[in-house]
Amino acid sequence: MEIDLIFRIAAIGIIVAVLDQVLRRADRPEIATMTTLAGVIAVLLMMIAEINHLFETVKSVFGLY
Amino acid sequence: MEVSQLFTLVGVGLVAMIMAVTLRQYRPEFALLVSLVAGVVILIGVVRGILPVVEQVQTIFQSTQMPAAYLQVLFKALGICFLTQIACDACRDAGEGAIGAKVELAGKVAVLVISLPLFVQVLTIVRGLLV
Amino acid sequence: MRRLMVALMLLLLLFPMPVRAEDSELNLEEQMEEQLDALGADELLRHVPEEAREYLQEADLFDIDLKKLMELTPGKFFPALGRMFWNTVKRPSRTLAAMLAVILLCALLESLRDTVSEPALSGAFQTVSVLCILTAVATPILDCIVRTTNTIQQAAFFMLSFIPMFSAAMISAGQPATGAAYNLFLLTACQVVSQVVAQTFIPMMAVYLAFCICGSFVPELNVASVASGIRSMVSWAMGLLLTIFVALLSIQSMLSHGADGVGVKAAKFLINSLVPAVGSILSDAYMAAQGALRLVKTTVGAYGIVVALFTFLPTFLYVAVWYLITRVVALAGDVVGAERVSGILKACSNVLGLLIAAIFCFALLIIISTSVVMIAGLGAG
Repeated sequence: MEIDLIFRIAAIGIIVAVLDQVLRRADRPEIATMTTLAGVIAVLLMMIAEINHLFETVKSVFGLY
Repeated sequence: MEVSQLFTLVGVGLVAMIMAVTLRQYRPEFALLVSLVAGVVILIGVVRGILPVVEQVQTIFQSTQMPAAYLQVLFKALGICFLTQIACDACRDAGEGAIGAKVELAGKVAVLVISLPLFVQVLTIVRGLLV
Repeated sequence: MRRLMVALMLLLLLFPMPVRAEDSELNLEEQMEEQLDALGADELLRHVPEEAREYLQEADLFDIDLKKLMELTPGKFFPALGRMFWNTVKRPSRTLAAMLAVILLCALLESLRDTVSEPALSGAFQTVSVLCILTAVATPILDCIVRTTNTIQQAAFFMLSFIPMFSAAMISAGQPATGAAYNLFLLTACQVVSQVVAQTFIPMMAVYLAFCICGSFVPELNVASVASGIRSMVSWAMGLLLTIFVALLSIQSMLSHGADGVGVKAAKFLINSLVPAVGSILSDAYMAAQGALRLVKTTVGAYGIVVALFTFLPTFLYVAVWYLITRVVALAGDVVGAERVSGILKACSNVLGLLIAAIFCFALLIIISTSVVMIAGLGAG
């Protein structure tokens, strides 16, 4: 269901945060930045699907074809 | 909307809030994404729950002599306002007030364009009154 | 021979031919019919306004009939009234439901609004809902305006034939001064008031409504003060007009009633003194005739009042129902927080309230003046 989405995003966020800290300590700031970006893009992709779902629901309920 | 759905949405909201607060210290952008997604999910539930109300209102309107086109305009305007308000609030929450203002302007223009036939009708009425 | 004569005389005695004076019992109804025809009741019946006609026929009061008027109990009156009310209320109540639904949608959008952000979007939606409500309400309001104007003009037209007939009835019933005063005065009053109200006040109220509609789209232009100025002027002028006319009429009828009383007593005295033997009987007969004619006058007056009532009641009910509806929806808008919607609806209900005032003004003018004159004449002689 959609609630899983939130947990997934939060999980990705926590993983990315932890990875970021670890990689910075390991003296690899570029990889840290790339990981963050990758995480953000992944979450965005997931979100776009959800927003699309919202738009479809609003369109059908309010007749906005 | 039954009460069980309400509980789901409330739970979603609380959990998302906690996660957003937690993530803000480490990765603020993720906190923003979490809150945005939570808002979207909750609103989907709300819109689904409004559906019976909308249908009832449509039935009420059909029994009066108001033409159905005006009712359509009203509902479309409501939908546009809904969506624009979501985007606006999200932008403002993220601190991007300028973007939010532009989105709001786009929403207002859309509502205006949709309601042009109603304006024409009211102008006719006013002209009738002044005769 | 003599016996034959006696026999003949006996026969004559046995078969008398009864003779008596003509039946002088006043057959009241026939007399009244005669009088009413003489006064021109048919033409009056033709001038009764359309709206009143069907209700009168339903209540079986169309012809000027003393018995039916005396039997007019509230029990008969209220069923017809109730039916009128239900017929008027059915369609507007559906529009009421629709408008309340629109206010509900406004409430929905209001709740979405954050208290911090400016109400720009809800303003846009409220504009659309104002437009929607206006298209629903404007046709009935225009209808109300047109109906009120028509009713007032029809009633004025009816009065044109009623007033001469009534004052003729009064003159023949022994109130010449009051009759003449009533005739002249009320005729002018009716025409003046109906013209002023129908041609000036009501169009001004339409202009006020147009102002308010345009003002609701541009809240920055403070149209409200101009609009309320127009409205207070109209209501003040109408109140002034009505007060002046009723006051003048009361004064006039009181004065002329005194003159009539003197006239009647003078006539009695003259008859008594000039006609030697049967003078008192003649003057009593004169008073009896007066009494009958006064009954005619009272009947005609009561008929006029009933017609006025039935003419104004349907229109009044229609306008009152729409007034209530707009007030209720404005209240709902206030509760929900949709100020533009409730503002325009308050303007609509103000217009309707003024229409009700105009109807009352004219109806009261007719009813009060007729009753004042009727009551003033009751104690004559």
